[in-house]
Amino acid sequence: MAKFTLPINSRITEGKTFKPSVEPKNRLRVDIYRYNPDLNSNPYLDTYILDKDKFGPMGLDVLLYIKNNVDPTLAFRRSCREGICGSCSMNINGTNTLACILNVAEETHLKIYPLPHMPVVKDLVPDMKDFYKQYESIKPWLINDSKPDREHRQSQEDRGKLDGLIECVLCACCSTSCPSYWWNSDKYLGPATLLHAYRWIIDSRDTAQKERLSELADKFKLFRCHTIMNCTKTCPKNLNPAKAISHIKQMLASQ
Amino acid sequence: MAIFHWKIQRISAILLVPITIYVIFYLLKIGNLSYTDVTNDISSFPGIILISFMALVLFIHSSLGIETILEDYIHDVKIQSLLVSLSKFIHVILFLITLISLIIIKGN
Repeated sequence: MAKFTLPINSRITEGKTFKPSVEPKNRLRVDIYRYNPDLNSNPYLDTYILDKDKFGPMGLDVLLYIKNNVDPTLAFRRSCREGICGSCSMNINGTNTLACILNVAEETHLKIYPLPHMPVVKDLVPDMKDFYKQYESIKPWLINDSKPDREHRQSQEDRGKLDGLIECVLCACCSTSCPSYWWNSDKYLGPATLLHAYRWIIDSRDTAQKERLSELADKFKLFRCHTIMNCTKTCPKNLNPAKAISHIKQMLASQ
Repeated sequence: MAIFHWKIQRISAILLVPITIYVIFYLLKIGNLSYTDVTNDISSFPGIILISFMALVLFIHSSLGIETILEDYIHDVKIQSLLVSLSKFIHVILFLITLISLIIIKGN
């Protein structure tokens, strides 16, 4: 059965509160999910009271300030700080997003959790192993046996078809926002992987369109998508995985 | 098979729209009709065709929908296939009950 409640060892307990000695004028309260596998205890929610004048406007600025100045034990992934690497994906105030491109300057209370329904390695760091395996399963590379003298050419029109797909940075915000992916993440590929599958299916330079489509024609891999559209709503890059998935379904249905 | 399931689910949904609208309008005026009027409408040739067709489409759509829900939430493969078979069996029974009822109403 699908599980509707958290297992006992995943239930969140109360944690510590970090307060500055003087009450800040420009106050920001940040609640962060903490989990340390070495402690052998349940996850807990730490609260940090911060002064907004001391750091920049983005979600990642807040986390870096906490790690550098308040609590160095906080673990999270980050790299490019401009929405290109997809490392700092997490759930902030109930929505999956990239911390580095989320403006939190107007907020007074932030609740930060790791991506939903993923095994947690530590604090805000989820285990992405299965997600990457699913991505690998769709063969995300060009399949074309011809060997042209130069690069594989493509018309501007065909190249245009890839816009809105190649911008995906595989941050997994969409997949982990999808209830269908929560229930069946072992068998359903999820919106991110399917968006990339579509990107290769419609690439005019790729010659394996039929094989790619027949590989997806499975009641779990593709058809667990029930057009809930959380993926499109949450995508921090404003892409539309739901549309890509519906195009794959249409292509299969009209074959 | 998965594509067939997906297609039939959509086709049956579209077919159900006009049928349901017709039935709603019929039910709205049913208060003005006598018992004999209604049984005559049901046992007329168009009535029998409409009700049998509606029951067929409705139960196919319902069966496919419940199968999807069971596949979503029941992870144990054996229990899942058992419940899917049970659901299909119940839908066939429901369709047969509809046909038998039509025959009984027609017979009266």
